[in-house]
Amino acid sequence: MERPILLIEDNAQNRYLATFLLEQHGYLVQAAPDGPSGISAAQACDPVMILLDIQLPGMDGYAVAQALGRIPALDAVPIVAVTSYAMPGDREKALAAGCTGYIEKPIDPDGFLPTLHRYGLPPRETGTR
Amino acid sequence: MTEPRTSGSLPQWTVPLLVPLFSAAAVGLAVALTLLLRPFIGTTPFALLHLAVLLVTVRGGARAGWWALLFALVGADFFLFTPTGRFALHPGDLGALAISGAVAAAIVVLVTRLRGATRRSLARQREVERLNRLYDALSQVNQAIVWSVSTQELLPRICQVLVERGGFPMVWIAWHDPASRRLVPVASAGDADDFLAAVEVYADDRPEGRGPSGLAFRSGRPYISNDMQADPATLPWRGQLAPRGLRSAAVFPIRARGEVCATLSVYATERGFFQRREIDLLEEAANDISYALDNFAREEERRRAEAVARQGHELVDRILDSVAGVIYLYDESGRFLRWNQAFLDVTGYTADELVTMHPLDFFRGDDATRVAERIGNVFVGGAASVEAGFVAKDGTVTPYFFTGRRVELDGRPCLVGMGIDISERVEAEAELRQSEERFHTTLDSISEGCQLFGFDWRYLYLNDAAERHNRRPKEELLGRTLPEAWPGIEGTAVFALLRRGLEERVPAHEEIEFSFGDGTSAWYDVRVQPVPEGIFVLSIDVTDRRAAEAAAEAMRRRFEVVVEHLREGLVIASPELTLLHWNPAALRLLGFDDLDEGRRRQRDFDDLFEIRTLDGALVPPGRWPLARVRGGETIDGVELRVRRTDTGRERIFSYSGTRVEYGAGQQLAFMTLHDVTERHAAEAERARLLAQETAAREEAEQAHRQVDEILASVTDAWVTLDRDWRYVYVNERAARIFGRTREQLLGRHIWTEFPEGVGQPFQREYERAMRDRVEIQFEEYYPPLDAWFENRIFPSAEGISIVFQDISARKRAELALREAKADLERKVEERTAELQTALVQAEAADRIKSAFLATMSHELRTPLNSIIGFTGIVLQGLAGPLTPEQQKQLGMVRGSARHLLDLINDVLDISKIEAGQLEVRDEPVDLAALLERTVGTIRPLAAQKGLALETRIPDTLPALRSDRRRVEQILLNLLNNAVKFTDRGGVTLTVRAGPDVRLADRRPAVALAVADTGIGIRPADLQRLFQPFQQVDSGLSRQHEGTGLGLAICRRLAELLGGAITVQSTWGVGSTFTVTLPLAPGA
Repeated sequence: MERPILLIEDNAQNRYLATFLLEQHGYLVQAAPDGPSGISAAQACDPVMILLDIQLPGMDGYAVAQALGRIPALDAVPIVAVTSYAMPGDREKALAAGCTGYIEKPIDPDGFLPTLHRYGLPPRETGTR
Repeated sequence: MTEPRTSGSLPQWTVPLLVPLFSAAAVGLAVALTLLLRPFIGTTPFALLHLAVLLVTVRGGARAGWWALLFALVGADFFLFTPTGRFALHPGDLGALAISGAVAAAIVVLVTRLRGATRRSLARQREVERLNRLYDALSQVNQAIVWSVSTQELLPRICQVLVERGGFPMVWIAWHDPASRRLVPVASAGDADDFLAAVEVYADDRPEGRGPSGLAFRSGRPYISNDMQADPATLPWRGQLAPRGLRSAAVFPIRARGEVCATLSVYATERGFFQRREIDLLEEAANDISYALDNFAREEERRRAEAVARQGHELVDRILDSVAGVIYLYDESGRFLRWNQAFLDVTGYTADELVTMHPLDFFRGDDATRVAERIGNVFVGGAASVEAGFVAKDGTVTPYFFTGRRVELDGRPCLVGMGIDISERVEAEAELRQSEERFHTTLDSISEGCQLFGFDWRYLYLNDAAERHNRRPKEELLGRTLPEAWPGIEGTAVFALLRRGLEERVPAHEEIEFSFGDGTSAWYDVRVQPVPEGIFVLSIDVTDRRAAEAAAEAMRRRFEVVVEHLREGLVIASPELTLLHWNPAALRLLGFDDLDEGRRRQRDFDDLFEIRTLDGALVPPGRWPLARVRGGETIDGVELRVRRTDTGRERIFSYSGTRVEYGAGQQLAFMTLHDVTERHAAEAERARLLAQETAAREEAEQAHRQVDEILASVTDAWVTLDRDWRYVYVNERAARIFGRTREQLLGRHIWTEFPEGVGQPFQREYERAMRDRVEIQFEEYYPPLDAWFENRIFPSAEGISIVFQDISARKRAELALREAKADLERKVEERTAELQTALVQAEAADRIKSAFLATMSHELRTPLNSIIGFTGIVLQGLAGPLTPEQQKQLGMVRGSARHLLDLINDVLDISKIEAGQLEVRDEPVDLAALLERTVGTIRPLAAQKGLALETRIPDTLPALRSDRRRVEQILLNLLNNAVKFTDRGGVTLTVRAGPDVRLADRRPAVALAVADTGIGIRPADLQRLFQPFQQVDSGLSRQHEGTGLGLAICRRLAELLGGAITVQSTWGVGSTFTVTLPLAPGA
């Protein structure tokens, strides 16, 4: 069973963009549109990495990151904040909430994958491109 | 390349020949000795002699030894050769030969070794001397480092020390100029004939950069040339070095911040001078210099940081200095940390003096104690205020109101305080006190007794009149309670009266007798008024008046006897008809045979009688004779027809009458009537009655006068008005205040005399008192006399009595005080409000700005995510192959989107710049590539609008060190603007560089000018052109999109890069923006 990348993102366009990009590079992507469904998906699908938007309806990304941090099974799973919060201090806030990485939107397809690898995403030699 | 140094007088080429020569000579000597001394061979004395000669020659030193030995050889030849002169080999000769050879060989070895040892010892000695000089020089270098305060001071000193103390012929330090890549001599010593002025040394790899300095600079390691004439590196300079006797050189890199920035060049006159230890020591010196430069740099950085902090402080200082009051900040130990200029101005101390002072140094005596206590309150409770005398340096004391508040500064509790000059208020208070004193003096001068009792019955105040009324000195009474002063008073009516005022808090008024306890007593008109302190008691001594009244009463009783028996009709009535007496004659005249019936009905006469004039006109009861007389009219011989309605009896009466006053406001109307129907018959009788009437009238007048005198003695102004508003009494004081005589006023109507009072509070209050029969007290300004009056109105029998006094002085002091207080409070409030407003506005603006930036950044990133993301995906070919044209066009989309993202980041930048957080890089910038890239970005935009985009760029561009991204940002922005605001014509980018292109401070620069033929800028708008969020013509903002940040960012970036930006523009013709950047940021 292949482990997916879990994408928690409420904006449909952004979700489509990231999913498309990752799938084109051969990854399996599971998407969740909000925090609570993302948390339950994280427990169910054994993700290899979690990409987390910060501005989410209801429960925000910081709270989601904290909640994910309390799940022992996810201890080894990197959580990368992918957010349009780019003011000074936003990065620190995301890291303080338990994220292992921080990517500022807009994401640049050229640099996206290398950055994710740096944050711990295992490379895939056999892309389906 | 190292060679042993030589010394001594022999030419150097002789050295290799000496040993063989000597050896040959020694062998020759041995052979000669063997042949010639054969007879003596074996004799010990000769061998000993031989050895002795050798020893002497050797110990005498190498040079002397040679000569002594030669001498000995010649001597031996002389004495031992001549006698025989023959030569033959003898078997014994072999032994002698062997001995002689051994001896000669020993001599050669010995001498050679001794010679070498001596030479080495001398060389070592010179080496030690040299090193000692170097050590000394190095220690002087360190001294110079310690004592120098700048690079400019340090470097020449070091060169000088190395030449003077280190014994080097020439030393110089070259500084790297990043722009020209030249190593510029900045300090030297020993350069007697300006060799360095002409020398051209470079840091890069050109031929002039391959010398010792260039090599040392680039490698970062010392470069040693111990024989410059042989070293290819020195080739370009050899011709100049050799004539100056400079044979060897050593160059050491000097670093600042870890980067090589200069070189130290040291020369020697000898080849091979620089050996390991010299190199080590000089390298150590170079490292020390590097260390010193780092220190200077750090010091400079610290100074710059301090300057920035100082600018922040200056703004705060300007705000503080603009406040009129004194402002200060000190810590818990009382050390002053901040203060405004006003503090120095007011106290007269300098800032230097102030820092050594303690806050309590500004107060004296009790003030200092109170202030110390309040300072404690501030640090414990958070805030406090105090009024105290503020002592200046020259000793003057100014009353101040201080407020203090505790603040935390760097975690330490501090007190921030503000003081306001309250001299005006204090003066106003003093004036009030004086006014109060004057008031007391006034009270003392009046005849009414004034006393003030506290709630504990204590005497608080007595005026002089009260002292007289009590018949005891004030000192005996003040501070004591009433029962203490007057034992047994509790049971008296006086005490009961006062108690009503004090305990029930109601005003009371009574005429009452006071017993002094010694059998005497006196009557007083006592008014008790509750006041905040207790009660105010106004007493008038009415003993005399009562005596007069008693006399009047007795008189009236006598009257009555007379009146009862008068044949004449006489009516006596009080104005209110409380007293109405018709004498029997009068009643009889009215037709009452039964006097009792007449008396019973006398109050119903209005209904019983009908009065007409002789002409027959009906007279209303209000105008009947008695009513007129009661009202104050005097009538004399008024004849009226009077008809009884019940009997129809009609008679003609002649009425005469007047009203007289007696006692305090007591009045009586006297009216006679007689029947003139039978006038003639009654003529004689009438004469008699008239005489009696006159007598009675005189008696009444007499009483009236007495009362009048009493009233006149009251010092307050006093008038009495009747119900028709006529003056019936005016005392002297009142007359004086009015400026008229009493006679001018008596009987006159008040509002005829003083029409100014009509409609004023005076009239209102008088009428109220008259109507409601109440006592009224009020203060009011009376414009015709320009004076304030305190008025007390008492209803009296005739109408009202008004007692008043001029209180203008007190009133004006009160008003002045109130105004001063209000003014002061208003000022304090205004200033507090201003400060508060400024603070709130600043905070609000800051919050709005931060919120705006965060929102904008966030909101724009969301759509950009799709644009940049999907174009990126498509361009990567992830969504399918692209034609080259699509590839190109999508590339443009992505370029624009990225530019937009840059713009967002720039907005964040400007907030960073404004917060002083933006850092610019210092890197080599390829200007040509930059220009090409930038113009290439803009060209499609210009083409789209049909604009020409020209560039005038020189073929060679200077080397530029700056921040590439920022330079590009500025240029892109200027070009973008030019295209945006130009509809016809074109945009020209002109780049200028060269010796004449310099910044205001003369630094070499490059100028990038963007000229357009667009709408231009009005002169009035040039001012705010570079302000953030300003698009010049608000009408254009719809037409030209943009954040309005571009030029603000450009200017700030240009300034951050050390340059400047200027604009020239003609409205309607076009604009030229020129950014001038230094070729190197720090140069």
